[in-house]
Amino acid sequence: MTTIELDGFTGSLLASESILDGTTILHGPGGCRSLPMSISTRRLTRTRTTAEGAFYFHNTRIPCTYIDAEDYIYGAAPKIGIMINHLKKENPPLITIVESPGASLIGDCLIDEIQKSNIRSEIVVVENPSISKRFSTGFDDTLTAICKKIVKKQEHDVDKINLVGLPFTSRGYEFVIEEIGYLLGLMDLELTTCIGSGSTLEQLKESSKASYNVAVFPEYSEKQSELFESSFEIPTIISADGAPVGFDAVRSWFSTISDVTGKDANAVMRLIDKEEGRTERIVKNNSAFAEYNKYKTYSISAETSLVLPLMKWLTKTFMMAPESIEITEPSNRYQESIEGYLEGLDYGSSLTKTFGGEYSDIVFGSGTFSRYLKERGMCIEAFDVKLPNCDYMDLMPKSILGIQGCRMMLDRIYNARRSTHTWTLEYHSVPYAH
Amino acid sequence: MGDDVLPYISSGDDLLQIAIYGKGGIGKSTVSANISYQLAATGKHVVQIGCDPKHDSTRLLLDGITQQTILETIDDPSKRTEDAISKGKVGVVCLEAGGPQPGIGCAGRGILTAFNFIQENDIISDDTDIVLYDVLGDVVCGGFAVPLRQKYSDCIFLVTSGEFMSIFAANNVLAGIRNFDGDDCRVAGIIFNERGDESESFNVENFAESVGIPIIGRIPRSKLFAEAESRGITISELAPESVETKAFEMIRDHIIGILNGKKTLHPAKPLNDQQIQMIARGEKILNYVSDVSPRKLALDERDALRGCGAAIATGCCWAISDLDIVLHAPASCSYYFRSGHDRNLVLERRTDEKSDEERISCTDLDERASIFGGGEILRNHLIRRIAKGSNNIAVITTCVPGIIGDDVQNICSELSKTYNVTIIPIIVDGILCGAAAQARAIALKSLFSLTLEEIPENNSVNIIGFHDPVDPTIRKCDDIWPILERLGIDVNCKLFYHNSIDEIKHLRLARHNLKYTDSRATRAISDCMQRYLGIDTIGDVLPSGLEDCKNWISMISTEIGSNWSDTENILADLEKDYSEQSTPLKNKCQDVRALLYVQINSRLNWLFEIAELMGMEIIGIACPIVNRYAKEVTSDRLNISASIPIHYNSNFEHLKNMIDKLQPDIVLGNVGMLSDLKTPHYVFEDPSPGIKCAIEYGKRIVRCVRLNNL
Repeated sequence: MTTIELDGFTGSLLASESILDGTTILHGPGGCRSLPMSISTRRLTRTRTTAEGAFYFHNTRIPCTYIDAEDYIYGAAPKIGIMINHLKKENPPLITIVESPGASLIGDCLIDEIQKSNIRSEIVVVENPSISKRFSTGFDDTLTAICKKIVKKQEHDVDKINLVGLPFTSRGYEFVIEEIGYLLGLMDLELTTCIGSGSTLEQLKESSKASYNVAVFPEYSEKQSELFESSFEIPTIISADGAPVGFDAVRSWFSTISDVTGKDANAVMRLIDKEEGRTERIVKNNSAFAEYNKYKTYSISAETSLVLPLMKWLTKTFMMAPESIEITEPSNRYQESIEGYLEGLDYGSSLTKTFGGEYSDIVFGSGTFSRYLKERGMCIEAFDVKLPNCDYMDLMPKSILGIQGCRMMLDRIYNARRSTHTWTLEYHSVPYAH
Repeated sequence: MGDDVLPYISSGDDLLQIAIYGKGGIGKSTVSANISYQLAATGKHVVQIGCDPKHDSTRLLLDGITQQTILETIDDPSKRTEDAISKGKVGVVCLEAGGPQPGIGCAGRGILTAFNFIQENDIISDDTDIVLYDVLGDVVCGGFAVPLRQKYSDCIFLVTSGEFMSIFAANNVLAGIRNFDGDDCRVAGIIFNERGDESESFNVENFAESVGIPIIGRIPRSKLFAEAESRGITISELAPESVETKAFEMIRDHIIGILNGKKTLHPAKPLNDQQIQMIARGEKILNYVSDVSPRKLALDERDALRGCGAAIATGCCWAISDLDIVLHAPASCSYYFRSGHDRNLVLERRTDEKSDEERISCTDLDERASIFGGGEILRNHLIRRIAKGSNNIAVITTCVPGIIGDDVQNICSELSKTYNVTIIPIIVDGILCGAAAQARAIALKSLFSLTLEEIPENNSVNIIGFHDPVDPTIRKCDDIWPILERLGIDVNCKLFYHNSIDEIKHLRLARHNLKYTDSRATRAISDCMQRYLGIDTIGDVLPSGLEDCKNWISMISTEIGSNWSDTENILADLEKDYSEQSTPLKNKCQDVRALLYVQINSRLNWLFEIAELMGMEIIGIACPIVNRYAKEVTSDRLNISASIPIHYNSNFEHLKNMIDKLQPDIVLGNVGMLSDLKTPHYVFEDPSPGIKCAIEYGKRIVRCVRLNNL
């Protein structure tokens, strides 16, 4: 197995799906619908309604034109017209139409069909679906197109802030939003809209009331940030230390917000110190665990904004060394810092090694691939930080972001057990490990 | 002014967009360049956009120089956008969309991309009065039809000569316009480019009269055109006082008339096949009424095409562990197919199998490939795979290469010979080959090309459709294998389940096939094995439940000539096992009334058997249509008492009405939507063959009844 990445077309569909009360129409074959539909249904907390009959066919999300071979030859635009009329009774406030890679070759004129339908919904058409581009490109482009259509400039409220760059595909994003919202509250800031993480159209419209955006993973919100800055005069706050992963980066993330907004972050800092202190005490009282986990290796396959803080934290906390670092959503913003940091540690070569190619004690990657590595004895502990993942439901916080994320990572890394024979031998060679 | 013609009404932005369509070689570019020249000479700001891949529309405005195209600019980041915009004679702004080499890629997609580029880069300035699109009209595919869109053209001119093919192309364009507009009026007129042929005037006039569109200009045949062409200038510039130039001035005035609302536009009313043939024969069309009607679209659950052929083909290939797979596809297809497979690999704990690292790879076709073709990308990808040691490769095609027409067959065959490796092209072209059944047939035919001619061994069978259930309890219930063993049946291959190329080669060692499950897939595989390998499938499907098992064992014993006393022993043991295992279920659902919501092709004898044992009454059956294959199966599959009412063509709303009416205690079924019901319900899958799984489902139904206090 090798690592695989979601692409821009899927990013486009899922970006549109992040508008909770909107409807995404896929103009394409049914085969292109299944996976994004499943991701959207399972990851976003809408009330599930399953529809039989045309366009839905016993499924919940992303009604589809089910293009067939004849449609490729003769065009299928009328299907869009029929579907929009069908959707009138649902009256979604926003309809986003995304063409599949194949459908984009037909050249159907969807705008004409939409105009004929006289539907009152706001409609955004994505005719150029970021084929084979990066997931972040499709996700960002589509959200930008939606915002361009929906969001209008209005007076800013100094206490309001939007969260951007946290796609709902990020594991445990809802718990992260809760925590960030709580901590921002300690700074007298209120989260207005979480763009891309499940917001209603009304919330999206409200986003221009905020004075700032703050980015979690800036790779997913570069163009949105440009739009908000140029059209609504809302700058985006981006931490130089990357996403809030690990206690130091969490501190840095909130400090940056404090520096830009002028809001007092002392209460947040005290809380982070307290949480870090508490975990340190626990670890100190279990010194065998702590000692045993030192000087191991880790591998990461993730966005630059996740890689930078995560590797710094793993090095500082566990004295672990990087085995392989794979950048999945390249961004110039952090690339240099990552290279510089690794060079400083004399581990620059880890950027050229294949993720999963060699044994690494701890891995951070896609849910499926990291679990595969664990099953094969290629690591002791595997963290699911991106799709695809194995089938499971997350009822507990499982994100590595924020304070809860720090605690979860510490818990799992310190308690990691390896079931292979090699591990057993190593384990018993440390007499006080029990 | 007639009833069905209208004057042009400006959208308010004072920009008139004109599309000029005509057959290749008819002189569109010459006509377009002269019209642009004439309009610009009156002081209008004019932009001319050539939409023909051979990109020579604007050369007469640029002293014969061919300019950098938009697609070249997109394709080569070192090229500057401004170099694709030229200022031509009398200030006409010149652009060429460009396109791929002939026979490669999709020129239509190229036009779409070029138009998006023009829009995204705000290339047409706000002070432009007229944009003129010069478009190839032989093929009005979606891409070439882009300038027909209302967004791009306010009015459309057709250029034609009296030759039939030229008129035919003009009629095709009208059909394209009708698809967009219906009865709306956007056709400005016909420009008749004379060739000097006999009866050409009659042909064009006959066509114009039939479709109700006026001839607004006649360009006489003249040697001056050749001279102007050779000097790279328009005839308007070369001979401003000539008759030919006067003809263009008339067209110019007509356009200005349109702009001023003084000239009318007409609806597109294309001729049908019979009528266009009459034009070819020089016959008059009297009392013409356009009857070109819209195509019937596949929209409902019976007709709509579900699934993806490439996914089906990939699934078949993936089961053959020493076969590498190259997907000729955009990255999204690869992700969709792989994520499910990878998940199963982990969930089924098959991670210790031969590493499938790089077993599957993808050519990651992008927008560039969809314009310029993906053949070379595939060739280079395959060469890299071969260099890495792949000797057996299946190449599976998806929608994009199917539409752009990449010659995958030849590439595979050429590389197979050059590198002496096995490359199996599986040309399903995503959904272009049809539905799942067609895709599976194509994949199997391709894979079975590896199968050797061999003499079958006695009582050796291939099992079709075996799979490991995800539920570990159900997995343990599979008790068909000891029965097969006692019957003396050897399993040659479980297709498609953890196979090797060697197993595919030796499929003919089996005398028969047995179907492990009944599904569209197993039926299709069974048909293909009969068709391509000559191996018949015995019986319907491996049985579930006591009675079906007993009948099947008797049938198969006769078929393979087993000793009857052995068979009787097997039957007696089976009955004993069933009796022992099912006793705890006896009368556990006494007086419970159940309604079934099941797919029409369900096998339910096991359920009726268990229900009877448990004392449960089945009060009705509703069968929803879930896909186009539902119609293949008839009600005699539901081998049940005639007293139970069956409702076909049911749906969830209908089910809810039935629940209100019949008030069942429980709903049982194999349709996922049951989870939306408030009535207690149990959703089952087809039970594994044998008796244990049916009994396990019985236990679960009892739990459902108990825990819901029924």
